[in-house]
Amino acid sequence: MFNRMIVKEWKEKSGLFLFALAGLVLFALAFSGYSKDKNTLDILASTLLLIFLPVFSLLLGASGFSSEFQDGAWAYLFSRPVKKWRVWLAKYLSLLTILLVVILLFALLTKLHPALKPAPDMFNFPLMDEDISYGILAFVLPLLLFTTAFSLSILSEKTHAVAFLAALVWIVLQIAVTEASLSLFERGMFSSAFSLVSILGLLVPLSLALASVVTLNRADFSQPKRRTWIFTKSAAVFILASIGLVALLALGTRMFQRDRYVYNIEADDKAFYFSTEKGYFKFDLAEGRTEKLARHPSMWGYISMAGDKVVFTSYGYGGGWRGFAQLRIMNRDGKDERLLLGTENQESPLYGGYIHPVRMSPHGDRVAFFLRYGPKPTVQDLWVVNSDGSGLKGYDLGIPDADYYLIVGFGKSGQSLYVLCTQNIKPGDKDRRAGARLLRVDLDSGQVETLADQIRKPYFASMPAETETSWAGGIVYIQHDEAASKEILTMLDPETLEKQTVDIEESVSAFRWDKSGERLAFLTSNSRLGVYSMAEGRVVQIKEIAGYDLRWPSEALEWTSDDRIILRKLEGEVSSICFLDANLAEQKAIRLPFSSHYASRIWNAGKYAIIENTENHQLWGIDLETEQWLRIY
Amino acid sequence: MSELLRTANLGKSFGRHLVFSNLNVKLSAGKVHGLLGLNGEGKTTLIRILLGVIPADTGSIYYKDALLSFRSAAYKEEVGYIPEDPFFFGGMRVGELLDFNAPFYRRWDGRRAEELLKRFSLDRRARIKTLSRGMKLRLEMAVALAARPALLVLDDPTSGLDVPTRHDFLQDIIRELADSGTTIFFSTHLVHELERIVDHLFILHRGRLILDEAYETVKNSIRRVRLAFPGDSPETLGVDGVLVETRDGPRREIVVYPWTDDKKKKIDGFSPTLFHVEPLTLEEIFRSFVAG
Amino acid sequence: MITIETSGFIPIYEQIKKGVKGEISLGVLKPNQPLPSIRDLAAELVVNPNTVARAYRELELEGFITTRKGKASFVAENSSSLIRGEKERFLEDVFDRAIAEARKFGLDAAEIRRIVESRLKRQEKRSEGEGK
Repeated sequence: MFNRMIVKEWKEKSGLFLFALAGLVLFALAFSGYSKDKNTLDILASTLLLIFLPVFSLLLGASGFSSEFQDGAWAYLFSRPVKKWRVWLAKYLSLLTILLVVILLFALLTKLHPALKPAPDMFNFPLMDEDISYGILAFVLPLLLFTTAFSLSILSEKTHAVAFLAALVWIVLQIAVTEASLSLFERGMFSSAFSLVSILGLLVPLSLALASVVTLNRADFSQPKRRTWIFTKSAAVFILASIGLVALLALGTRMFQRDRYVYNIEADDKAFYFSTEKGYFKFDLAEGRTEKLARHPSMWGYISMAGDKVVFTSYGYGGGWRGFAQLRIMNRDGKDERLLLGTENQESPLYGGYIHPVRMSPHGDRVAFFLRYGPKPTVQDLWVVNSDGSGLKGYDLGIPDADYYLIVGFGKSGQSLYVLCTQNIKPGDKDRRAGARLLRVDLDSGQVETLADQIRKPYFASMPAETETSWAGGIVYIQHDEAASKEILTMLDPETLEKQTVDIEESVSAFRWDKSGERLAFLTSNSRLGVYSMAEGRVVQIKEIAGYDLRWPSEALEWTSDDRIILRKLEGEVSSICFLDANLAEQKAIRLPFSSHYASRIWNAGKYAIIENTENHQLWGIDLETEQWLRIY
Repeated sequence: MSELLRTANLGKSFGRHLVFSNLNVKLSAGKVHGLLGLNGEGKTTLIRILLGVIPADTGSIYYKDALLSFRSAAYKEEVGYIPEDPFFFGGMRVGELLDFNAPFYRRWDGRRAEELLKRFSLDRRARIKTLSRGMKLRLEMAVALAARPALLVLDDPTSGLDVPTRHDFLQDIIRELADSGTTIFFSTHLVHELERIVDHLFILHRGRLILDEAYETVKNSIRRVRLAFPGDSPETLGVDGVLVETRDGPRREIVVYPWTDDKKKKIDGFSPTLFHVEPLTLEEIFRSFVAG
Repeated sequence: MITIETSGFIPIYEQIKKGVKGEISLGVLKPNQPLPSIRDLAAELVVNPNTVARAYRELELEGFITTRKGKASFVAENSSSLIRGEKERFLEDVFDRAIAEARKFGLDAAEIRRIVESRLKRQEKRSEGEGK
């Protein structure tokens, strides 16, 4: 029967097939015609993938049973000795062959068309394992749309009505899935969001297909209303079962857990605080123990310590899908936790925004933070509040459409704040070289001063760790020099606004203060490691290094408290860390308890060196005295 | 087993309209069963249910004593079906239709199919669209008979055909019957031809089977009685089984089923001046039954 | 030629039997001559083969036909004499009914005889006139 069915279906749907072929020819001509214009080619390819193929699949599926309704063909088929589900399946597979042929033809078109060849990354239909998202669009989406439309086609012989209904079903499904996965996304459940999408995307068409077969098996085709009713009942049952299945999977396999992640880490000489998807943890350097402090969900949880307090951000729910940010403060031992402010209040000027990053003043009396996606996104992004929650004040930095913010630090008296920010690159800007700006904000008057601009990546400026007594040096950042066409390590004295540069041939790609604020280690674009002494005002060491993992340069190096430099060793994989002495000679190498292909972050806190395994988001620490590894998280 | 197919309490409604209920039909192997009924009273519906084209609301069907469900398909391999409006897939040729059907039926006899095509003067390559109604019917027959069915179900196949074509069609049925002992279930409202071949008669009227009897029995005992009475004709004759009664002055005509000697004597007792008993044709039998 | 009509009292199988007997008596069907098969006769007459089968069965029981090897039927040897006997019985039946009708009209035996005689004479004169 299957063979006869294929021939019959091809004959019946030949009109649609010709329509697809016509489309193929038109696209081919269009590609040739616009072969010089990359943008148009892009638009054409998108139209093909996102409009033409899906519409074709919908029409093909919707026409599935239309011929059976005419002249009583269904009665004829049902009077044959054949199980009704077989009829359904034979038809489905027959039409599927038409769909697959059309998709393949289009795939070949994009693969072989001379105009598209030079840009394989953009337009290639993933005949090979190239881009998963294109694979989904090209094959899976038409297939699912076709299945949905075909399943619905037993409801009516009016192809256009069925196609419309199927499209409607898909739109509703999309909205529902997008909303659901968005909320999961916002709660840090990234991989589960994707799983949800894929599972529901598959289960709903499957449910409709099953409902379609059940309807065929139970319904009186001469009574359209009853047929529709039976279909609706079955579809509801199957879709509810699918949702139930997904829920069971979620609970059973703990799929809807937040992805494991370590967000931010802040360390000082007493303790090491870090934020994860589970909440905030503290690793006490003296006791060598990890402790969970606060259970708040902490998307990109920011931490800042000063004095005996720790301030951090968390996530709250105000109702509906929207989450709100909160600023909380607690003692260093995690006790006495209080909410400073939140963005869920509609009256508050902070309403709806996210808080990051956060910095507490060195005396612990004030907290500065940036508000993103607030009610007025481009104005009053900088806010300062007292540590008791009072005195909330906003500052307009005068940078429209700002993108990246970094709080560099408070000024000596705590009266000014140093901030780094970039501006969003507008489409059409030739490249992203606009650079970042270093600003000083007077917290009393609200005055904003630009101290430097054309700061390059890493958009990173830092001040050394403040000590009680003084703070040496100034603000260090990497300045792009247009004339010399390289990145120059620059020091700015915030009081005098005097600048001092480190003069070396090549560009500097990263730097790191040592624990006393005395020296600066830096990496250059030629894989040289250097040390700059603040006291002497010059480069005291510079040396070529090899065999180290210099990816993610700003995180590639770290000072220990006893003035050694830690680097990741790269031998195919990263499996050990090395310690360099004052002469930048490798003094010791210690094997990591894991090995990873990825770059990992290193920190030093007290006598511990801490490294993150970015593959599974585990935190490991080693006691540098005993050389014992300890899994912190 | 002599009962090829039987239904038990079969019922069907379309929405609020009850088509029939509590239908118990038995088809005996090798016999010709005729289903009579007025148009639109459920003959086609019953046949569609038997063929599993639409489901019954209540009741069950047994084929060779095995209970069938709406999903059963195997029994259809032994059932040939000629529906009221013959359906053919658009653009198909004669040969293609045969080839389409052949794989469905285990007992398909290709040689027989060819013989039938020849006998019916059907060209394999002819497009079905171009055939006359009579030829289309013969094509349906060829498809149905090539599968060597044990049961042949026909739903008013000859309406719209001229007499010679109907005559030929009946002959084909008869030959099939003689050759293979096929059980026939024949619904029609063109009663005249059925009369010559029917063994068992069903009359479906107002949702019920008002007659379920061997045709011979009915034919032998249903009578039209023409009476005339002198003077005042009696109000009632006191005879039961009167299907139809018409009066015209002193004349009276009744159709009685069953006609017995007792009833004859009783009417005699009224001393009618005219007492004439005559048989009815199947057409008249049918009309008498559905008149009430 | 056997013709079947359905509007009368006589069942189809009886009509078939009569028809076969008629053909035998007319000499159309001779002794030992094969009869048409049930299939062919049924198709020709457009009647149910079961009906033909029943007619043949009864004809066989009555001795008019024989069936050899369970398949073909043949006219029996002595069918003619049987026919004659039947004919007489048939005519007796006809006369009985005519007499009964006459009685209904109030005719007595003498008047009946008179009518019969006059009708016979008439028949003879006619056939003489036609040179038979």
